[in-house]
This record gives sequence, C-alpha cells and structure tokens, in this order.
Amino acid sequence: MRSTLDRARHLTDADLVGVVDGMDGMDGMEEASLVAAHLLECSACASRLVIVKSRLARLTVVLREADSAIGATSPPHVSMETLDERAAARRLYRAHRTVSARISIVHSHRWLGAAAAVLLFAGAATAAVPALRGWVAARWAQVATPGATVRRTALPVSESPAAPLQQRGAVVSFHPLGDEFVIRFDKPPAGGVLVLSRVAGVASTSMSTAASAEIIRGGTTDELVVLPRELRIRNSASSVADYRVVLPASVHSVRIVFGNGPSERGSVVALPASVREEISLGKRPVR
Amino acid sequence: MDVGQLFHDHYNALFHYLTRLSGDRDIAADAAQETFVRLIERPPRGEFHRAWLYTVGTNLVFEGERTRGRRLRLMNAAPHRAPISDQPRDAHEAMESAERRHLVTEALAKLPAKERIALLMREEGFSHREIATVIGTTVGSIGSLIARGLERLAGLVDLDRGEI
Repeated sequence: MRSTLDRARHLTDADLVGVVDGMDGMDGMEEASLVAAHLLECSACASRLVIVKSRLARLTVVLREADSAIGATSPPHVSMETLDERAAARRLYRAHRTVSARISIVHSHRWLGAAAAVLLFAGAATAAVPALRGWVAARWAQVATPGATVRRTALPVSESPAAPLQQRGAVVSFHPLGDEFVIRFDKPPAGGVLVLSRVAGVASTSMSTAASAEIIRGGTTDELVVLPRELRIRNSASSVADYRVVLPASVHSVRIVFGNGPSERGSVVALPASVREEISLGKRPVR
Repeated sequence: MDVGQLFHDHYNALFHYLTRLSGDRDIAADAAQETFVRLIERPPRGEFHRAWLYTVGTNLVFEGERTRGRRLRLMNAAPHRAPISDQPRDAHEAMESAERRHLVTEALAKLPAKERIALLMREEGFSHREIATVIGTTVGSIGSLIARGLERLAGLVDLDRGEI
C-alpha cells in the first residue's frame, strides 16, 4: 500500500479497505501505525473511511437480500457418498476411454497392418524356398558374427503356459436406454455379491448418463456383454464372483434375471437417489 | 485428510459463495459438487487450506460461464433450435424475484472477475492473503481490487442510501 505512507498525502480507498478489515494487507505494524496516525490528523480521510465502511456494510446487507432471490442459501442436497460414487464412475469412465483410445490408434494405423501383412508374406515366401533360405541364413551369419560358422539351433520354447484371460478389473462403460435396466445372469451363481449404485446428476452431461460394470472379485471365466437395455453376465453355475454396476440417474429400477427366461419375471430392485445396494447372489434377491 | 469432514464443514459456504459469484444456482451447485469430486480424485499436496476449494470452485464457475456463453451464441445464431422454458407459475412473483435478482447479480456480473471474486470472498470472511492466493496476485493489491469493485458497484447499485 505503500506509496501513501507520506503523511502529506491522503489515504487511498484501498488503504481504507485495509483499515476496515483490521489493517489487513498492510506491511507490518509500522505501516499500520502510520495509517492510524494519519486518520487521527486528517478529517478528509476519516470522513472517507466512514463512507467506505458504510458501503461495505451496505453491500453485505444487499447481498443477503439477493441471496434468497437466487437461492444461495439453500444448496441442493447431495451426500458425500454420491460424490464418492461420481468420482468412482469417472475413474471407470477414464479407464474405458484410455482403452478405447488405444484401440482407435491401432485402427487408425491401417498402413501398419498392411505393412505387417506384406512382411509376413515375404518372409513366408522366402522360407518356402530352401535355396533362398540357406542363402539368407548364410548372409545373416556373416553379418552377425563375422567368421563364425552357420549353426542352426531350435528356437527356445516357453515352458510356462499362456496366462488365462483375466476378466477381473476389466471395466465396461455404456449408456443404458430407458428407466429400467436388466441384469441377466446366464446361470444362477453359487455365491458372490452384486453391488448396485446410482450416480445422481444435477446437470445432464455425458458423464451423468454413463453407466459402468466390472467384475471386482473372482469370475475369471465370466464375461460381461452390454445390450441397449440389458447387461448380460455370462457365468457358470459354480461362479462366486462379485460384480459392481454403476448406473446413471436416468435409471430408476433394475430387474435381475437368471437364465434365458423373459425379463418380466426377474426380481426388481428400485433405486432411489444416491443409493448403494449390495445384493447377495447366493440367496436369490426377492423384492 | 478427511474429505467427508471437509464436505460437511465447507459445502454450504462454498455453494453460497459460488451462487453469488455466478448468479446461477445450478452452475454453483455443479461447481461446488465438482470441487469436492476433484478433492476426492486429486487432493492437494501438503497441508489443506479452504482457499483450495474456493480456487477450484471459482475456476469451475468461470469455465461454466464460458460454456454458457458459447451456448448462448449458438442459440442466437439458430434461435429456432433454442429450448423453450416453462411459463412461470406466478407472473408477479416471478417479476419481483427477477428484479431483486437483477439489481444485484447483474451489477456484480458487470464487475471485472478479480474485483468480483475479491469482494465476494471478503464477504465470506477470507483474509486478503487468502483472497490473493485464489486470484493469484499480491496481498497488497487486494485492497485496491476491493475498493475499485466497491466504487463500481456503488455506481450501479445505490450503496450510499438505506435502500437499493
């Protein structure tokens, strides 16, 4: 504030705001003392201080009056759990987008696939002609180890079997249609839990209409298949996997169906706002 | 850091400030909730200060305003595609409410962003230092921002009389 420490000059409104705010923003006690001393001596600055103080107080009143008109005093109810779910849904959504982006990068490089096909074809053709193959092997041996003789060795074979397809942790994101959603298990599972939650959204954004599903425990052979109004879980009767399904605010109820029967015969789970339901799959959910 | 406790302590105040800042309850609600979602996702490193919430919330409101501005420009360019809102239930009540709202919120909206933030954060009880952190300026300049904003507001809304 600073340039006004000269007592011959009047204090600025910025200085006076600092005075009203308990000498806030001043560079220490010395400056605060000088400002206070000036106010005692200068009636013009003292009068101006009264105006600034009055305006700030009046602003407080005016803003409070406007608060009720714009609804500033009554925030919409939202629970911490809802925000947690929204953060979780967004993490799933981002993970899905990352995978999708990688897939699209692969698709966009079609020339790479074409080049690989040409190389494969050329390699196969070369290997098919014994004379050519011998010549290439001899040239390669000369280049790689000058002076060395060409030795043919069998390629090393991996002793470990291929890892099984891991479904757990894979996330499926989708946008369900309608206000009722069907979750259909191919077989009634032996156990496990289905965690259902619903994201409450204020604004209608792409995030607020997104749903996601994942296998959170077990279920290494299970598969998730998304249909417009249905999530199909391809499981076995011995499955004890846990699943998590996060649905948008537009979905109000979920019908859980076992087998290929009509979806009207499934158990219905109504989803009020901001809910998190844990359904034991060992016991059939009955509502 | 207990996000649940922070939510309990600051959500209402943050919503209150953001509603005043934006003049729009829905934008404020979205921004306030989004602020806490970001706190869950990427909490600030080191010690938590409530100014962090206000910095994020303020930025979200201004992002929302930019989006709304773009949307309005698009609607003006193609008015037949703009959604038609419902008629108010009580015209007299709606008009009074709109008048009260316009007097103050329109005046606030005319202020430069930094002056608006400084005035409204001061109303929420923030120190000049905290306001400076949110705006990204020096502590010494906050008094000037508040004084300039106050002077401008006094020209738009009568702050020197008993009534507006």
